[in-house]
This record gives sequence, C-alpha cells and structure tokens, in this order.
Amino acid sequence: MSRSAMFRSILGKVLKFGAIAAVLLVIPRFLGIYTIYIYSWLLVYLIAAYGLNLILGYAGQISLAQAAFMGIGAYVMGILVTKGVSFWIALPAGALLSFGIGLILGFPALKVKHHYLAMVTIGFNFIMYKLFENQEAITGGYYGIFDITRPSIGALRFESDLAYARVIATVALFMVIVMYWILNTRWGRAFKMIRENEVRAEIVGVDIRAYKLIVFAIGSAYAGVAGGLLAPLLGYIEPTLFELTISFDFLLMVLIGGRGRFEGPLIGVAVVILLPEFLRITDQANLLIFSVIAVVVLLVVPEGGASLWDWIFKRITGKNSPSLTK
Amino acid sequence: MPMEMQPILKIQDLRKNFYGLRALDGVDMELREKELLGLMGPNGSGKSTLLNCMTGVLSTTGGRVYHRSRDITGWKSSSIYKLGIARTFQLVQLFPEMTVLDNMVGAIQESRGTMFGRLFRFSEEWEKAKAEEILEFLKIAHVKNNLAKNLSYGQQKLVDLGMVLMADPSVVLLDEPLAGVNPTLGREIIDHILELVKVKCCTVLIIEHNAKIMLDICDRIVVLNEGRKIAKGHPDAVKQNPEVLKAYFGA
Amino acid sequence: MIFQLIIGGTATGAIYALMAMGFSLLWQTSQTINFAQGEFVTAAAFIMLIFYDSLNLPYVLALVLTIVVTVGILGIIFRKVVVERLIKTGLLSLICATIAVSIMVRNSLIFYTAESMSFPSIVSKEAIPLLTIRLSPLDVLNIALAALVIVALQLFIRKTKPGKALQAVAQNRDVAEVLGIDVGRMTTLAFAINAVIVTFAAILVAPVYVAKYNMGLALGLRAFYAAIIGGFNQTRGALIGGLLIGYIEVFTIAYVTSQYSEVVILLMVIGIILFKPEGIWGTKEVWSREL
Repeated sequence: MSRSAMFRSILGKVLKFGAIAAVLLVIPRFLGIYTIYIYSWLLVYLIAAYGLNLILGYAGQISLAQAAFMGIGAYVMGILVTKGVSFWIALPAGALLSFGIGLILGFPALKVKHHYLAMVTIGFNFIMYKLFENQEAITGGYYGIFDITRPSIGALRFESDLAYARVIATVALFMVIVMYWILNTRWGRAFKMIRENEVRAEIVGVDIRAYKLIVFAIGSAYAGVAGGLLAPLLGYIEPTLFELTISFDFLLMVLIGGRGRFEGPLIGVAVVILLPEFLRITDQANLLIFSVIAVVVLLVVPEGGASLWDWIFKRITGKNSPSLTK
Repeated sequence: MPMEMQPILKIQDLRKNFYGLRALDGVDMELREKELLGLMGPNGSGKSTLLNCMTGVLSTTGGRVYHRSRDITGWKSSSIYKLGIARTFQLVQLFPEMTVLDNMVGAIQESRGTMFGRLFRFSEEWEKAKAEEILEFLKIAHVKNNLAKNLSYGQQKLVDLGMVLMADPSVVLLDEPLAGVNPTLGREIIDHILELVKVKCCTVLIIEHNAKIMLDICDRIVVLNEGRKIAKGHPDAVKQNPEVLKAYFGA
Repeated sequence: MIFQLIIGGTATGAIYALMAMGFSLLWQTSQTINFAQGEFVTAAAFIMLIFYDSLNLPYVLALVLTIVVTVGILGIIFRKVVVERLIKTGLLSLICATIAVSIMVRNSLIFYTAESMSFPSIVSKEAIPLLTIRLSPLDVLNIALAALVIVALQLFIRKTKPGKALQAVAQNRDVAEVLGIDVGRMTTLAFAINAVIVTFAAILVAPVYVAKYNMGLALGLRAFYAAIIGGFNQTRGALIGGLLIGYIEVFTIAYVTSQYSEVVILLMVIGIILFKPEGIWGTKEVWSREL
C-alpha cells in the first residue's frame, strides 16, 4: 500500500474512533440518573465481554471464570482506594494482577480442553468466590467493601454519575481500540489459526502454548479492568457480584452476539443489559430468554464467527452481510 | 556417495503401535535430495502414519528419523516445519473461516521474527506479494479474497499446496495430492509437482494410489505393506516385484 | 456415628453415581458432554410433581408418565434438535449449547413455582433407631433403589441385544458401524436411558433436598465432578466417582465445616484434571491428532 493510502486509512480509523468517542462522551449528558447507571453498567460489562470473546471466540478456549477476574480487579480497586491509593494506580494494578493470574490459569488450559477446561475455570471462579467471602480481613468477607470513592485528577473530581460515566466510557473505548488493534496484528491471525485448525496451525509453526497463555491472560485482564471500574461505580462491592452465575451471564452475552465476531460483545451486552429494561420481567424470565436466544444462535450458526443477525440478513437479502467476508 | 545422492531424510527402523496394532513395523527408508519419491502401498499399509511420524504429528513407538544426519525423532511439528520440511494432508486442512490470502500468509507468519514483534504487524508487503505470486502460479489468484471454506475441493487442494510453497521448503511431503481431484486438475497438480522438483530443486515425496502416474513420474518408489517396506527402487523394477504384485492383487 | 456417615455417604453418593453414569453413557456413545444433567434431574422432579401433585395421580402412574415425558423431551428431542446438529461442528459448540440449555431449564421451571416444593417420599423421613445407630429409611431406600437401577442397567447392557450393541458403539463407533449396528438408533437409546436414569435420580434426591428450580446447578456440578474424578469413559469409573464424592461430602460436612467441602472436592477435581485427566478409573482418551 502506498504511503498516502496508508495515511488515509489511518486517518479514517482515527476519525471513526474519534466520532465514536465524541458520541460516547456526549450521550450521558442527556440521560436521566437511572439511565446513566445502566449506561455505565453496559460499558463495564462490555469490557469483560470483549475479554471473554477473545478467549472463547478467537482462541476457542472456554473460560467460566470471567466473573472471578472481575472480582479480582474490583477488590484490588476497593482495597487500594479505601487505603488512599489513587484510582489511576489501582486500575492498572488490578488489570496487571488479573493478567498474571490469568496467565497462571492459562497453564491448565494448555493441558486440558473443553469440558475439562470449563471445570477448571468453574472451580477457579468458585474458589475465588469463597476467598472473597471468607477472607474477612482483606476483603471484608460477606459484606464486602464500602465507601469506594470515585477518581479525581488533581483538582478535577469525577464524582458525579455523569462525570464518572465519561471516565468509564473513555476507558471502555480505549480497551476496545486495543482489542481491535491486537486482533489486526499477526497475533490476531495466529489466534484465528488456532481456532480454525489447531493441528495445522502448529504444523505451520504457530506456538500454540504461548498464544493460548497470552489469550487467557489478556482476556482475564480485560475482566480485571471491568471490575476495577465497577467498584467506584457502585461505591461498594461484595462477593455475590462475582459468583459463578455471572460468568455464565458473560458466556451468554458472547454467544448471543456471535462468538469470534468483533461486534459480538456489543450486541450481546446490549441485549443482556438493555432487554430487561424494556421487558420489565423477572430475572429468571430474562435469563430464560437470553439462553433461548443463545441456543438458537448456536443452532443456526454453530461455527460461531457469525451471528443470528447475519443469518437473518442473508435470509432476507440473499447475500452475505458485508462484515462476514472480512 | 555423490552429493545429490545424500539422503536428506532418513528413516531408521521406525515403529508405531496403536494399542497393539502395529501400524509401522520397523521401516527403513531414505529420501534423497532433489528426487521425486513415490510412497505406495495398499490401504492401511502405513503410508500416512509414516508421514505423520516423520512430521511430528504422531509420536513414534520406536526407531529414528534423521534430517541431514540430525536426529529429529519426536520433534514438534512446528520445529520440523522450521527446518524446511512441509507437508499437505489427505483431507485438506485449511483454516476455513479465513480468506485464502490469510491462509497463505498465515502459513509463514510464524517463521520469522519474534512473538513480540508480531504484535505490531499484520503482514509485510512481500508476504502478500509472494502469496499472490504462488496463487498465480497455481492459477487460482482470482479466489484470493474468498473464505477458504467457500472454495471448491479442487481449489482447496491447490491452496493447501500453495501454503506449503510459501515456506520455500526444501522437502515437500504430499499426502495423496490427487485424491478426489478430476483428471484435468490432477495433471495440473502433477505439472506443478514436477516443476517443484526440476526447477525449484525441492525434494518431494508423494503418497498416491494411482500406480500408473506414480510409476511414470517418480524417480524411485518405496512400497509398504502392513507396516513394512516390501520393495524399493526404480519404478520399472518395483513394477515387476512379485511381493508388490501379491500385496496389491493378492495373487 | 461413622456407620451413619457411611450410610449417608452411600445414599448421597448413589445419586451422584447415577447421574454420573448417565453422563458417562452419553459421552461414550456420542461424545456428548451434557452440562445440563443437573437441570435434567430438576426437570424430571418437576414433571413428577405435576403428575403427582397437580394432577393427583397415583405415585407409580405418575412415575411412569414422568419417564415417558423425560425420555421424549430430555432424551429424544434434546438429541435430535440440539446434539445431533452441533456435534458435527465440535465439542465447544455443544458444550456452550448444553450450558445455555441448562440456564434455560433452570429459569423456566420458575414459572411453575418459585418455591421449594416438598416432594413426595415413599417412606418416612424419620430416622429409626436401630441398635446404636439412627437409620433413615429414606437413605436405605435411596441405596436400594439406586443399586437396583444400576444393576438393571448393567444387566441391560450385558445381556440384551440392544444393550450389547450400545456397548459396542460406546467402545468403538466406527467398528460398530462396520458391524452393521445402527449407531444413530443406539445413540438415541443412550439418551433415552439417560432420561430414565435422571428420573430415578430425581425421585431419590428430591425428597431429601426438596425440589427447587435451582437445585440442578449444584447437583449437576457434583455429578460432573464425580464423572471427572472417577473417569467418565468407563461406567465403573462414574459409579465409583459418584460414591466417592458422596463420602467426601458427608465426611467433610461432619468433620470440617460445610463451607469447605466444596473446596475440597474442587481441589481434587482440579488435581485430577491436571495430573490424571482420564480419571482414577478411566482409560486414556485418544485425543486423536490424526487428520
């Protein structure tokens, strides 16, 4: 590609993301108190969902421990902030810790596959939950941690819901951009090769072990960031926020949106967080609907990489949707 | 032995058991530089197993594999690939949800540079150019942006071959490249293979069932039966070997 | 006291063993990992409740009808609609689907009732003092009934024609096919048998734990652990694994806090997965790298 073409392409991307940033930052201005709260939740969960999408959708590994990593990030934030450490240090700290532990959890992922891996991650989630619940001295036990203040930079305080929502939006956008970038490098291609045909990938020289470990670490770190943002959003955290069923929720989000698709988490999170607001039915009914959608998506496009929406699109127009042939 | 006749790959007493089934029962074989070797034998004689053991896809139960006098027995397939030994598969093995170009570039992206360096690049111009060149050579350049799963079987076989060529291998092992392919395409593939050996000076080993073609194009033939080598040598000699006839026709 | 615990452990373990055996059967015959096994038990319990409580049918009739319904839905329909379609595209999709199905079932039963339903029990739950120990008739019944089902299952598999065909499919699908066995029908049979097994597991477990819509999660996980520890490519492994989990559960609750019984089991599971993934009594799977 010529230099000017490359420049134009980069400029195009910058403008695109700039526009998205502007929209994200402006929207909260017009939302009511409750809606801002939903908006913030959505963005926080979006980050964690992107992490799981990387692990499950791109590298084909099952992790049912995203909630636990969210918990790690959240508790790091909660513990550090209540001891006076700055938000801006606690957030990367939580992410780093999640990255490290995710890397460790990645090792079993190398040895076992699929259902065994699912069990290991379930086990990990459960053990973390028990730790959160029982290690009173550090985590506040059953009741959790309170009074988690929101960040500030010097004199500028992001105390209000509106201001903090913008902080979340900025971090979320940053994380998504990073994900986009990673997936468009050779790493992204390597992940895909592993997902598509692991044996062939190994034969052409892909270091399966290294990539799988990285994927687990990054995906978990994303959950850690989400957790770190969650803590000041709620102002408090407690163990039940990070129990096993939340990990299942993330799985549903990724499945609904179409695993392995870049827009997948966006769709999945939007459905799972927003639909309940419109339907106003019980939690269980919501979960019922989500799981049905997830099963339908899986049955219709079992290979992943496409979503229900592409299938519908194809049925209606007879053509493949544009993003599918990328 | 003159230089061209040195074995580039040497199999010594190779054994492979599957729960008591002796798939390979002590096979000795040599693959000499720049030759076109045909590996034949009835179904189940162990040809693919031999290939799999040589390339690290299967572990061996006994025996050794040497590459230019280096012992590569038990090496991982990725390491063997990096030595310049590439292979295709009986059942085409591509990356179905990726484009043909991606498949091609993917075939060599891990061969150079560091893990960390790969975070900062998607592909170099030369990789894409080379991929396109090879696709041209194989006459399938027009499908370069299609998803691999959407190609016809014949096209997929060619892409498989193309991926192998990307790495500029010194040794190419082809597992039934003509299986399921119509005669016209088959002739094309054979032409490409012959060009590989004569022009690009690769060493090629083919597993194929089509005896006529094999006897026609190969420099040497090795015949396996029930996990053992029963014949080797020039095609004319092998053609008349009574053991070979017995194995194939049970006479 | 120890004896009591052993009885209790056997009773609990028997239920897990049943579920694990069904689980193992599905894996062996059709490479299906049924994450929804626990929810199947819950569903069976609820269906039983519908027949017995709401429709006031006699116990045995209700049981028979329940079996018919579970075989139909959890066996045949589940197989045809979900499993058959997804098995071709890989285990990952299938596992995700069964997880989603488990969530689906778990959250649909709430529409019948959100409360814990008291489940009919054939015998009294009161413990009878026998010599120096207090024996719960329910425990004894559990063990007896579970043993009966297991023996019946083994007899079926070993002595009957379809049973032997099933065994063949479980051991080696391809060879079985070559021998002329209708693998598809055998797989359906396996799912049907699993449905029967979970129904029996339901009538054994529900009286003790009460039937609640979310009881499946804990149960299912336990059965899963049992299958992993014992080795689920051998029915024998699933059986022993189930009993083992039962004993561990009962003993840790008695001697340590109940909080950590789950953790102990989990650590065992993770240990097994890392060091002996085929399970203590299982055999090594050939994760075929052949192409």
